[in-house]
Amino acid sequence: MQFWQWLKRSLDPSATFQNQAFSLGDRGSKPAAEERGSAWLKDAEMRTERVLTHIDSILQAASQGTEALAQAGDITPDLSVNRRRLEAMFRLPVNKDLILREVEIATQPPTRAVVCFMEGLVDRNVINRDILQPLMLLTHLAEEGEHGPTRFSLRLVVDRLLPGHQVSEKQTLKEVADSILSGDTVLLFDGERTAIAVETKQPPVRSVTEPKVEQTIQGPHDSFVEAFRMNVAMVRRRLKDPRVVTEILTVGQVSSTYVAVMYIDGVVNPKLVAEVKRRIQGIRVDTVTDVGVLAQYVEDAPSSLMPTSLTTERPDRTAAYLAEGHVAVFVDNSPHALIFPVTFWSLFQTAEDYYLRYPFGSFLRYTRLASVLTSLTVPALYIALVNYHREMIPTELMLFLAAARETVPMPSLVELLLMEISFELIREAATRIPNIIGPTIGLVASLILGQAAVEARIVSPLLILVVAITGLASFALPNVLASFAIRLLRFALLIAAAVLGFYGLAAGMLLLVVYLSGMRSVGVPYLAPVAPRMEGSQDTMMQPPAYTMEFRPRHVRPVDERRQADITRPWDPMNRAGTERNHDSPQEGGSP
Amino acid sequence: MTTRGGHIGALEGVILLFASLAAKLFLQYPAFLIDVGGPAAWQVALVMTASALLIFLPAAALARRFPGLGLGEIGQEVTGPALGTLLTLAVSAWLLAAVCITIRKVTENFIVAMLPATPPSMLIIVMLICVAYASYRGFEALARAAQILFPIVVTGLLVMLIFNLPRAEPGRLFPFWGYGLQQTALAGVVYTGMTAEAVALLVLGASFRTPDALRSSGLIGVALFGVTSAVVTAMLAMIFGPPDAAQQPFPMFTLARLVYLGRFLQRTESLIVMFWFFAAAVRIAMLFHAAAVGIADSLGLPAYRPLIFPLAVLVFSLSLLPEDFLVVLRLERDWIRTTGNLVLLIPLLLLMIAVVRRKGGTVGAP
Amino acid sequence: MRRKTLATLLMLLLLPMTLTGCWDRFELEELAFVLLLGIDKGQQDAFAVTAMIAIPNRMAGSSERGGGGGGSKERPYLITTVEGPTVAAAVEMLGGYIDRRISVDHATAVFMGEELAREGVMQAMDALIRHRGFRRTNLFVVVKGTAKEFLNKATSDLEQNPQRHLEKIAANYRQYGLLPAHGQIHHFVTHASTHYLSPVTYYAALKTEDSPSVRTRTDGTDNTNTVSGSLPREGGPNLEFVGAAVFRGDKMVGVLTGEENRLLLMVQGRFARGILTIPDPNDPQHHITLDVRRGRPVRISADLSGSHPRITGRIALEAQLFETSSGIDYTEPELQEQLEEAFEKYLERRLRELIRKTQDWGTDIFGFGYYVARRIATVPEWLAYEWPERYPDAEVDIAVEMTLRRFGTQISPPFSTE
Repeated sequence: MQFWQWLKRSLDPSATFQNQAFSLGDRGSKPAAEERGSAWLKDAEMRTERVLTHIDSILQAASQGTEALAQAGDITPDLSVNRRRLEAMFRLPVNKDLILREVEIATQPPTRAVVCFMEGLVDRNVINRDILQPLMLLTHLAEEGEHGPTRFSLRLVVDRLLPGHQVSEKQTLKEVADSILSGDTVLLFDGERTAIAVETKQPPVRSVTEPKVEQTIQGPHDSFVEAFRMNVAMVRRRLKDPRVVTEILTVGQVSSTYVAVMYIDGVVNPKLVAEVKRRIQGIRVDTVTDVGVLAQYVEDAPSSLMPTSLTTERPDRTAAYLAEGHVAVFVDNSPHALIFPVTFWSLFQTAEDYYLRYPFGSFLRYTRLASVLTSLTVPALYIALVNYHREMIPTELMLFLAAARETVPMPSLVELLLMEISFELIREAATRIPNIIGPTIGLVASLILGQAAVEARIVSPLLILVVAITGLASFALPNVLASFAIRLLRFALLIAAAVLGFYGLAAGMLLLVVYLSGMRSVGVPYLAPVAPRMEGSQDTMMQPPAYTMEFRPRHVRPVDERRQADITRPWDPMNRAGTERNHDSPQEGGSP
Repeated sequence: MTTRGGHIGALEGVILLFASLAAKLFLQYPAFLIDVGGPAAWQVALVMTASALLIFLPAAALARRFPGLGLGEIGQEVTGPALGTLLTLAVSAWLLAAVCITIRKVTENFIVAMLPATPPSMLIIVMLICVAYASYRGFEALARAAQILFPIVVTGLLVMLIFNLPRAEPGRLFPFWGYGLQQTALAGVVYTGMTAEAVALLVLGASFRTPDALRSSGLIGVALFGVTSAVVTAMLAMIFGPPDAAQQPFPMFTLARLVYLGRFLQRTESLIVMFWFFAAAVRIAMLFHAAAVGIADSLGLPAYRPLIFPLAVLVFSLSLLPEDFLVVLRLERDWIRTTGNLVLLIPLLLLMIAVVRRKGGTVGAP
Repeated sequence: MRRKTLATLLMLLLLPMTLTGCWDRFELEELAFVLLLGIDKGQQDAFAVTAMIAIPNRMAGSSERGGGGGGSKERPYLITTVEGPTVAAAVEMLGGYIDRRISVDHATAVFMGEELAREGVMQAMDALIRHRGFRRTNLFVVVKGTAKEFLNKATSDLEQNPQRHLEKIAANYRQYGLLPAHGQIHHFVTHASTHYLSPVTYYAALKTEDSPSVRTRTDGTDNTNTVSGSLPREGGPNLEFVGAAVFRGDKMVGVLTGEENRLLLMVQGRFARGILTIPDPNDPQHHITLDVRRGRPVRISADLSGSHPRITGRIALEAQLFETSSGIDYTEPELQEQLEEAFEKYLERRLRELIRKTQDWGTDIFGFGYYVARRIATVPEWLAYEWPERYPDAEVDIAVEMTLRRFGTQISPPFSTE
């Protein structure tokens, strides 16, 4: 019997789709029409009820003056109704995250109340000790007045019974829900139109760790974590200036992600802040999960390979950028800050450049530039040289190459593409392989594969060198996004060089330069301050000594341009003459 | 004002003008000079620069009279829609012709230098893609790109001059007075049209921050070019001797082929010539852009971008028209350069009319 | 969406183009690289072109591949000769029997048989200048006998291929001064096209089988007063590079010996260093050797006021004593002066002889024309002056100033007590 069923199933040509198999619906059927309908209906019912309540309370409050009118919300005095609506909002019997604890406050007469909080987001000690205990057990402490037995009142609860450090009053269920979702504990009282939210947040947060990507040898070793409040605090610790402002916006209809915009008022250009905020507020999206996502909604050229905003995980770097007059954007749950605006040159810079002396910093930056040029052009140069401009190769090397190529069946371009692609494979695989065996696999792959490819005479030995240098050089760029861009552009230039030799390579480079020249990051030319040339800090590839950077970079157009006095080393005998002249010039600006 | 945006300062203007003039040094231009000047070709270059500087002054004055306007709009303002359009369209036509000739010469240069079997149309298409894209990105992007690429081009030039210094024989600059002072001066004045590309700055006048920026970029750019071309022609005469240098179709390319830095680094001309591509592309892009903006301005079009593609197609077909390279050379020498002088006179004419009709200045300032 | 698909299709269409024939794209193994080129008078046609073509396998692979023999002393190149009415036509004929495409990108020198050189080189030179593959930096070498024989028999013991041998020897002119400073096609062309001076170029020869191992010199001139093909030696590579071929216009008229070439370099101010040997002024049986270097810059001026052009000049040289076989101690001030004077006299005499020789040939190889041109205002006058015609009548007077600066690591000569 079973066998026959199996046989029939496997022989029946119409059995490719089984009716009993689960499916979310075919292409032809309307997307989840009925399912959406029922959920929508339930939601709409509840919303209507709430709106009606709201209208009621407004009508009631209308006679009591404007203050009462402003406080009118959709919370009813009927506790059970409120509770039912909250349950409906949070899909309660199904959803197990929201805890509704009903208690009786030990006043005379006892008042019923509901304590609502989100499991996991709150500090349960605080709720037990500072909310439930005073309300249920310690109301008598408030009795000591001569008024006799304590009567319930909202003021009493807020002023005497709740030792929480942030207590706020909520008038609408929407506010209540938002508070609950952000980790507060909300109290609803029988007979009251106002709910009370107590700050009890303790979201799951990882502790501060070392930076993963932007490591330094010298300099601080802390990096951002997923809680934006902690990130802001880490930056604020470095900038003890009351003018440092953190504005918090909410983005995402579903995620309601907090997005913090941080800047130093009085340094930053207000137009810059306004533009960044305008762009963030303009986003219409359901969720924003990371700065990387936010950046794509906010950046000038989101489809560009080159990033037009800077992502960093270092608080010290963020602080330095803020002090220069940039704007930093934090997204809750993302361990990175987004810096606006950004120039091409900052892709070559790291925090460490400034902690070392300036010659080392400049040297490192030029090394990075060289590595970028290497990884960008070496494969293309190789193809152009071998296929078009062989006269440039020294004769002996050329003859060696020719001899090695004689055994290789493929054209040089195919050979090179093959190696480049397998290198990319190794690279991608190595990042996905579990940490412990990763290095081993990488080593095996690179060593054995290269050796074997040469032995099998699929590639010539020099090519391994080319690919290896290219690959190695592409790691030297500190900016992750930019190094991805270089990895991709490399192939474009390679093809260009394969078609027209140096002519194609030059055309490709020209297009690239023109493209970069026309780019802007929040209104700042991407190649500033080199092209167009601007005064102020020339901190691009050549790093000026810290004590000579008197002005903030002018391309961000800071309101306060000067960041240090002309004579920054007044004790230095070399500067004595200058000291007297500049004696009482105020030390302006924040830390560099 | 058409929609072009951008603010160009004096530095960018200087670099753009210099790059677009200096690109000619890589073509046949020094050989022209040596042909007419003999050992004294560098004197011709200096005379030419002096007269070009003189003739640029009225152009600068015109720009100052109509700040924030391009030549096309100035023409309309000064001489009315009919004549003004005609005059400024002539300038644009000349710029386009210069683009065609340059693009063909550059292509011939690359064919001789690097890619002998590649059809010229392929190279022209690639160059035009670069040019059209640069023009599409706008004058600002073009100026900045020129600024970024400028050091590379200058390095390419200096490398050649410095590494060929041992070959230079100062004795070849004698007899000192060349074909005689009279001919030197005459040739210098006649070849003033060599710098007629400066009029492109005026066409793009609206993109400059101030008229002063335009004036200084024009004057400094022309002066720099004059000095550079004097140095380059002197070097060429010293290295090849005047008769040999005058016969070179691309003297600088031959010079690049002479670079010999020991056994390991020789035969590097392809690499050096690659850097010239940047200079050539900047030059062609700037002239092309000026032509497009000029046409849009003089016809009162609201935007120049729709013109880019048709103009590119036009340039493509025109640049393939001349049958052989010598025809191109003759066209350049006999037509482009002589009419270049007339083009330089158009701003002077406009200025005179403006003064007579009391247009511009404080009266007509927008 | 549609646009993306279109772009992808376009890319796919373009991709094969990159893989196959892109007009100028050639893989290295598709090409046959000419290392050296020889040009002779042809027997049936005008030119006979000899090409030395590298065999990469044998040249590079000796360490890794090549059958592991190592001992196989096969030459890493092949040599072939083909005739044609022009040089380019002859090179083209190579394609008829060489399977790889001929590339002259890596050629570094052009050898020309003496017979052809004496008849005129410009016709052959035209191909070398116009053709993109040849370059003006290639050396131009006139060969005693035919270039075909020269290339066929050339062996270089130290280097793997004769091309490298040649490049290194050419770079040695500063060290020994046995070759002229100008040996490239570029020099030849630029010198031949102006009136300033007449071109010279390298002169090479094979070792003659019967060259005497010891040559008795009777004329009392310097050891280097010899020319390629007659060096007093045995063994070693059979290529000899000493001396220069002198041209009038584009026709070769004579040969300079190594010593004469040094004098030429001295007048041109390009003499860097060289060892000079003359008979000891106080003991003619023995010889005295100096290490001579360039001193202050050469000063030459022309005077055109007289009926004959007059050229006067001064050459400054500095010297270090290298060897005195007579044992006379030349550190004594008056002896030192005597020695300097002897050298000056000797060099001036040899220089006069050389200038006389070139005036007989009618070739101003020194570049006196540059100094004459300085005295003339404009080009038409300069051309009318016809310097090459007047050079034979010119009075040339070049003085030599020798200063003995150092005496080596020892001051007085070694002596034995016997």
